[in-house]
Amino acid sequence: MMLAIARKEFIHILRDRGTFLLVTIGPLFLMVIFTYTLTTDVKEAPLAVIDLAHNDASTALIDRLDASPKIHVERHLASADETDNLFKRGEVVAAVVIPADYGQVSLTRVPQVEAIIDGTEPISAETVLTEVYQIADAHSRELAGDALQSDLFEPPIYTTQERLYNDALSSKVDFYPGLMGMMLGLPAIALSLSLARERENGTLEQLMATPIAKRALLLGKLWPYLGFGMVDVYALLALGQWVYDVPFTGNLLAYSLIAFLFMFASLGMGLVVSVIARTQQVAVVIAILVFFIPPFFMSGTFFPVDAMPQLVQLEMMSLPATHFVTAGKAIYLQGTALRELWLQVVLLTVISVEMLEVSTFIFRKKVVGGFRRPAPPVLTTKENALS
Amino acid sequence: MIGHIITIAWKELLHLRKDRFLIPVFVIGGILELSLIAWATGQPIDNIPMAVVDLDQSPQSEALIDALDASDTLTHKQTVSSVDKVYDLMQRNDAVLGVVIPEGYGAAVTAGERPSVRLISNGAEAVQATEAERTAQDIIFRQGMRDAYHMEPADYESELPKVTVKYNEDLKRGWYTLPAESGFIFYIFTVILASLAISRERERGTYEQLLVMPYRSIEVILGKALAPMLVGTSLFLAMMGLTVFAFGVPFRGSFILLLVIALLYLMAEMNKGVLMSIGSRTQLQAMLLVFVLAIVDMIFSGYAVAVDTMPPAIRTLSNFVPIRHWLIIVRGVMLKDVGLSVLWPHVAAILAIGVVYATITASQYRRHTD
Repeated sequence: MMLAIARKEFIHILRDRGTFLLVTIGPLFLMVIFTYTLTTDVKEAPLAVIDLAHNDASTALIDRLDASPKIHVERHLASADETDNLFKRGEVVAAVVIPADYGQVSLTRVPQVEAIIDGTEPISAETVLTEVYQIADAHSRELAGDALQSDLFEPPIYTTQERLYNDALSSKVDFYPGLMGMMLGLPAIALSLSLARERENGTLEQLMATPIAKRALLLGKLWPYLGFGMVDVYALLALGQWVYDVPFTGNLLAYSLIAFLFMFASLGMGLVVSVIARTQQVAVVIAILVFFIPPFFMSGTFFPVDAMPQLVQLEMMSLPATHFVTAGKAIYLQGTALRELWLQVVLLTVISVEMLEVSTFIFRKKVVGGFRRPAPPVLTTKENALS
Repeated sequence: MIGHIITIAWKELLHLRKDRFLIPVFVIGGILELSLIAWATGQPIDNIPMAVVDLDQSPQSEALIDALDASDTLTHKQTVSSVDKVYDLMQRNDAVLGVVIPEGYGAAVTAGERPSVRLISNGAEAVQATEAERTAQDIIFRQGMRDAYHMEPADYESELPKVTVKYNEDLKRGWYTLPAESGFIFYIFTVILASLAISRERERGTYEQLLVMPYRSIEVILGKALAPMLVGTSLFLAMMGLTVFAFGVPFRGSFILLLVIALLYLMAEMNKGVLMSIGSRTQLQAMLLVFVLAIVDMIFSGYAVAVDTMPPAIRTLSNFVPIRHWLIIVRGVMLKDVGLSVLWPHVAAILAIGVVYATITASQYRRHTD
């Protein structure tokens, strides 16, 4: 029985162009766009320089700033007055003022540059800030060291850096496994539409007239989307591996399991949405609000969950995407073994079962369409008054 | 003509009032979404878990660990005995930063011999790792100055490069995201309403009736546009109010200017919605079309990530997306107190895009009877 429904739904997906695109090309297409546009890696951010010194030291500093891949010197200004205007026009994101006595080092005084940063875009501003600061700091230390022939200006403690999993700290590598959680929400959106569509088209009544059990009906609807979703998983993994240089280091089987559980859980949520929503439009709106936007912000993809208020963290725990991003990312980038991720496996399983139960519980196999319910009397009288 | 437009607009508003789901979902959903994002982005990146390997066990190394722990950014989660254990923790995502203090650290730092501290960061959490590295380096430097030279920050601050941040002094992410998010909410709901306007008639079979009415197509389109405009404007006011009064994003520029531009912007977006509505056969198609376009918009617009960091081709393309200009305007007016003299190219772009959409819409309106 369930298989019959699944087969019907599968054929439906194949024949409905919109749904078919949504569950096949959709995730890949979005992923391509997202990876190109959502990177926060700052490249060649425009910088204004106000060089009041005009000596070898200041020229050397400007060259060094320009040489950094993160920033580039866009404008040379005579005075700092103009910087406000440039900031407002968005032509530069930072201005560096080199004082007139730059490079004239003594034991008691090391002239330093002053940097002004436009904080409107905090993420890139922070990168630019760090870069400018480090370059200026290192340069002035060198200048002082050379001029006074002393190592007094070296930092008191050196640090060596070692970066695991993602040597360049590239945001793309960080985001890719998280973005998969978003992309794999698309089949769930398609599923929420599907049931609402049956209701709207009146074919749900036909299904109700069959002796099929509620749970079998809902599960039968779910399986085909799960199948397409799993195909998406491997397609996205291939895309990451060979097109975007995000190497998959973990165990493919473990990843498949996590992905399967996640898909099941979010499709279960999709069922709940479609049972609640009476029309397809409503289903779309709710599905976008539930599947797409929160994972974008909340699943640790763009803002780490650790830094969020407890209340929000708690709420995040109820979203399957959060657990998928945590576990999937660990397997994907860090090669973490599945037994370390037992908590996520358990939680995803719990959400899956819970969603299936909830949707079965609230899904009534009776013909109570939204259309047949009589309008409340208040509305009717107002209606008359208006016309 | 005005009368005809108002009649159509009134009919549309009645439709909206009859729909007991769409408007509550919009209003409650919008407010919920904005609040969630305000909560999520309202804080700097804090409490980054840190693991420490102290091979020295001297008062100096303990002072360094305390100093690192005292910062809001880092939290001393665990002390482990070897570097391998740090790798272990990283793999389980229990640490984003590992700090390894070498043997003889205390003696070396007091003697001014410049010991070397090893920092290990977890690249899988690139955002946190970047922040953690930066904070750790800063603290280690300050602690070194204290232990080696007995100098407090006030003694050498003037010897370091001075950095001033303008407009968003504390680099709060919310100040960047919230104006964009509120703009996004009022825009997407307006476009959804607009896109349903004509596809609904088509679906119900009343489209033909509209066509045979003695109304000109421009009157019908304007009337159909007026209702979503009203809803959109009220949403704009509500969202702005929330952003400023509830979530504390400063409003430094002229509100009247922003309101006027908002109306122009809504008009442009709405034309897009009506056009999509004409192009699709069912309400659902229209809605999905809006959804796809919204994602495209979200990406091209610098909604979450600055446009400047995108590849050049995409940056050029993004000029044709009205929301990109809107975001520049709303952030400029709110945070930087920018006036029309700077913003006019963006306002002009919005107008131009709106006119193009309107022209296509008007020319397509009558052709699409099945």
